Amino acid sequence: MSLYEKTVDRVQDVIRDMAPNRKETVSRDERLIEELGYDSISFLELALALESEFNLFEFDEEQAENLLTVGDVSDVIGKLVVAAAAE
Amino acid sequence: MDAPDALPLESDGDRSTSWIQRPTGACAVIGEWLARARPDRGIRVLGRSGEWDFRSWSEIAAEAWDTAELLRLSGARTGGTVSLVIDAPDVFAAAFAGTLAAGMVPAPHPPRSSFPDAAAHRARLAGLLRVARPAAVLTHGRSAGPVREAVREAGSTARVLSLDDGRPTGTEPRSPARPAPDATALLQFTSGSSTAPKGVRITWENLTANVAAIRSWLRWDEQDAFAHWLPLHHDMGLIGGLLTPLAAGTDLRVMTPRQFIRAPERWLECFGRHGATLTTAPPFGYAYAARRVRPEALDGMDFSRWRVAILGAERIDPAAVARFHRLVAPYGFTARALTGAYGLAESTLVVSGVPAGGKTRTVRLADTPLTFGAPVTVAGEGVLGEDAATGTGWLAGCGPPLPGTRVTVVDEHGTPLPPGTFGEIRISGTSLFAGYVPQPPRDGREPGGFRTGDSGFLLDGEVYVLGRLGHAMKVRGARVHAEDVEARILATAGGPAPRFAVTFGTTPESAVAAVCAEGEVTPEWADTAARCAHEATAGTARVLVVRAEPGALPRTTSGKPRRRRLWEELADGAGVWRPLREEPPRASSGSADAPSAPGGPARAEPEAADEDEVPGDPARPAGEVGLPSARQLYDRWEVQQWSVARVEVARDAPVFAALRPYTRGELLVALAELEIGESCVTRTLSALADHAPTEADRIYLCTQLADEARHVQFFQRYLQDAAAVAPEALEPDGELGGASGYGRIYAPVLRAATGAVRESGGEAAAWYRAVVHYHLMTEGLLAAPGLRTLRELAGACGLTALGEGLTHVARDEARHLTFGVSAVRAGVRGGHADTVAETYLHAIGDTVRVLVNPGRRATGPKLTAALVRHAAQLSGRWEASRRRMTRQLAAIGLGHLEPRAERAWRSALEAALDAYAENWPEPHPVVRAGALRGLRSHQRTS
Repeated sequence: MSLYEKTVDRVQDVIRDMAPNRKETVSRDERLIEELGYDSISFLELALALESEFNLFEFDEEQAENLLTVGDVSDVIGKLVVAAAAE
Repeated sequence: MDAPDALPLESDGDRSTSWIQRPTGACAVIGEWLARARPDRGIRVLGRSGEWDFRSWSEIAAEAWDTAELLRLSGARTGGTVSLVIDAPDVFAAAFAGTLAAGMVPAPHPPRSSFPDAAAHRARLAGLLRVARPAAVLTHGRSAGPVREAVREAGSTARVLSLDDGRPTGTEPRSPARPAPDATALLQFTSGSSTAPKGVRITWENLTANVAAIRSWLRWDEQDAFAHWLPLHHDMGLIGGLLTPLAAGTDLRVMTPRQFIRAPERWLECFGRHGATLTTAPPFGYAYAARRVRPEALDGMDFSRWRVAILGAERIDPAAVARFHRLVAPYGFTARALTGAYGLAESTLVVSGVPAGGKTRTVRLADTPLTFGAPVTVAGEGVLGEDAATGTGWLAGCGPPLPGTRVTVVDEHGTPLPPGTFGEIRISGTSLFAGYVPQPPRDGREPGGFRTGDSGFLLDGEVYVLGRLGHAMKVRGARVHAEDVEARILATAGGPAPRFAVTFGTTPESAVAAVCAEGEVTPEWADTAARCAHEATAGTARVLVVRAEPGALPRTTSGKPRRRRLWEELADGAGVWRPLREEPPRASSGSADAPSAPGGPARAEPEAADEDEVPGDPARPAGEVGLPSARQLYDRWEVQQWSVARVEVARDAPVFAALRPYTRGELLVALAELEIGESCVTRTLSALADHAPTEADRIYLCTQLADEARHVQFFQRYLQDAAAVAPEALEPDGELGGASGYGRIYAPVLRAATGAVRESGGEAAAWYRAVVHYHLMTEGLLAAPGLRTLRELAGACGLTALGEGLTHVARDEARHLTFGVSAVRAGVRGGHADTVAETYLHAIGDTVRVLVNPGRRATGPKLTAALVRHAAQLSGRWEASRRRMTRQLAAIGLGHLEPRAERAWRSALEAALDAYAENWPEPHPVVRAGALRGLRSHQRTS
C-alpha cells in the first residue's frame, strides 16, 4: 500500500469519526455537508485535526478548490503528504 | 327610562333552579344574583399594603344598584353600551353588575394600570371608544383623566361618570329590564391588536350557557373558592374569574397581573394558606411561578384542597408545567388539578376542557410536517405535570367539548375530517357569539359553525390545539395579528421596502412567524424584519424571513395576502421561498428558561416601544415612539430578575469536557472576555451612578451595577463548574486573562473614563464620554455581538445551561444598551453633541482592536477551503459590529457622522491587522484568506 493510499484511507477514517452524522463507513462520493452533517465549526475541527495528524505546515494555493466530498478532502491531504515526504 | 317590568325579585319561589339553567329568563339573571348576594362571602382584593381587603357580595350588590341608578339618572338609554375603565376589581365588579342591572351593555376596556404610560393608554382608549360608541363611560381613580381625554380625542358624546364623584346611595333594588336571550349582554374586545379593536358581541344566551357549562365542567360547588390574577377586561378574567364566581356566590381573591409578576408566591398562597380551590391562568403563569418561587417560600403551605388549575389561552408547554408540578407537588398539590382547556372570546370563554379531577393527557407528535387533511402520528404519551416531557413536539390535551358546544375539525373547504386528522377547529353551539362590532363582511361564521383559525385535531374525543394558522397567533394570552407585525416592520425599517406579507404557522416544535418578501431584499431590511417579528411574538416563535421572485405572494382577487396558503407553501418546503434569516424561539411559551416572559422584548434595541397591551405582560413598556425612559427600564429590571444558582451550570460539564479542541478554545476565550469585561465594569461603574444627571438615571445605573455583579458570578461559576477552568487562568498573566483583548485594550480606557468622571466631580462632559465607552462601545459593539455568537455556539454544541445563562445576560445587556443610547441621545440634544461625537470617533479604534485582538494568535487552518470559511465567519462578526455602529449613530442623533465613522473603522481595521502581522509569524486568517481570494481571481482572469 502506497503512502498516498494509506493517507487516503486514514483521512476517510478521521472524516468518519468526526462527522456529526454517525456512520459505520463512508465512501469517496459522500458529501461532507449534505450527507455527513458537517457545519462550519465541525469542518474547521476536521481541518485542524488533519493538519495536526499529518503534520502539514504549508498550504498550497493550487489546492484551493472547493472540498465537497470525502474524496476531495482525502485527495488533497494525500497529495500534500506525498509532496511533504518527497522534500 | 323604560318602566321595569321584569320578574319581581322577591317572587323567586324556586331557589333550586339556578338562573343559568333558564336562559330564556336571562332578564332575571342579574337581579337574582344581586338578590342572593351573601354578606359572608365576597371578593378579596390584594391591597397596596399587601393585605387582602374584603368586600362582601352584598356590599357589592348594593353598590351595583347605586351604579344602575347613576346610569339611569345620567339619561343613558336602556340597551346602550357602557364602557368600563376601572382598576380596582371590586369597584369593577359592582360597575359591571350595575350596568347589567340598568339594562345596558357593559364593554370593559383596559384600565390605567394596564399601561405604564398615560399617553399610550389614552390612545388605546380612544380607539376602543370609536368602535364601542358608548352612551356612557364608567371610570374611577387614576383612569378618569385619560378617559376624559380619550373621549375628547375620539370625538365621542359619551357621558363620563366618575365613581369617585359620588353616586346615589341606598338605591332600592329594581327589577332589571328584560332583555331577550339574543340581546347583547356584553361587548368583549379581543386583546392584543393595536391596529383595529374588534368587539365580540356576547348574548345573554351565550353568557348563561357558558357560565353554566363552566360550573358543571368543574363540578363547582358550595365549598369552592376561586383565586386568580388575570385582568378583568379580558374574557378569561371576566367570564372565568369574575362572572362565574359571582353567579355562584363563591369567595374570590383577585390580584392584578402586575402584583403577580412581582410576587407570584402571593397567588400560590391563596391555595396553600387561604383555602382557595380553583384558578385559571395562561400556561406562562405556571412556568413563571416555577421559575420565580423558591421552595422555601412554600414552607407551611398545603395545596391538598387545590383541585382545579386551568391552563388556557395559549399552547401548553408540558415541560414547563412539569417544572411547576415539581415545585408544588411536595406541598400536597396533585397533578389531577392541572386542567387543560381551550377557549376563545368568540365562544364566550370555554370551548373544551379536561373533566375536573381527571389527569390531562399529553401526546408527542412524530417529527413529520403537519398538513391539513393528513393524519397525525402520535409518537409518545404522558400525563401533564407528572411526566417531564423532554424533547420537542409535546402537546397537552384540552379535553372534550363542554355541554352545548360542538367541535369539528375541517379542511380548508370546511369539510369535516375524521378524528386524528390535522385541520382547522370549527365550533358551534349555544356559547357562540352573535357577531363583531364593527361587523366585517365575513366573520368566520358559516352554516356549520365558526372557523376559529386555530389548527388542531381530535383524539379520543379530546381537542388538541396547535395554534393559529395564517393571520394571528397568541402570545401570553394576547392575540398578535399578522397585520400588526407588518405595521411594525414598515414603521421600523428605513429605505425601500419590498412587497411582503407575514404569516403564522406551527410545527410540532414551535410556533412560527414568517416574513415573506418578493423581489430585492437588502440585508438590513431582512435584519429589521426578523427583529420586529421576534419582538412582536415576544420571542415565543421561530422567526423566518424568506424571499422569492416578484409575484410569488399568493393573494386574493382583492389583493390581500392569502396567509394560510402562504404558510402551506412554506410548510411544504418545495416552494419558491428561499430563507434569508432564521431565528429560533428565544423560549417556548413558558419553559423555565423563558427569558422574555414576562418582561417584554428581550432584545431592547433602540426602537419604538410597544404600544400593544398584553395581559400577563404588564411590565412591557408602552408609550410614544421612542426609547423607554430610565424609570421604565427600572420597572423592566424589576420583573426580569434571574438567579445564577438556578441555572445549574454544572449540568454542562460532561458536554464541555467532550468538546473538540478548537470549539472548546473558542468558547473559553469568549467566556473569559466576557468575565473580564464584566469584572472591570463592577469595579468602575459606580462613578457613573454617583454622578448621573437625574435621579431616575442614578437608580437605573444602580440596577446595572447589580446586574453586572450577577454576570460576573455567572461567568465565574460557569468557567469553574462547567468548563473546569481554574480562577487563576483569568488573572491578567493567566492563560486566558493574558489573551484577553478587552482586558489589555479596553479596560484601561474604561478605567480612565470613569476616573475622569470622579476627578472632575461629575462634570457632564466626562459623564457622557464614559457612557459612550461603557454602553455604546463595550456593551453595544463588543458584548452584544459577542454574546450572540457565543449563544449560537452554545446552542450548536448542546450547552443548555450556557444558553440559558447567556439569554439572561443578553437581555440584561440589551436593557443597559437601551439606557445608554437613551442617555447619550439626551446628551446630544442637551448640548454635548461635540463631546459625544469626538469620543465616539476616537473610541472606534480601540473597539476594532479588541475585535481583531492582535495580541492573540488566531486559529488559522491551513487547508484552504477551511481557512476561507473560517475567515468569512470572523469578518462576518466584525461586519455585524460595524452595522451596529451605523444604527447606534442614527439612534443617538449623530447619523451624519456615519461616513467619518466608517473611515475610522476601516483604518482601525487595517492598523489592527498590521499589528497582528507584526506579532505573529503569519498574517491574520482574514488577510490570508483575502490574499488567497485575490490570487485566485487573478489566476482566473489571466
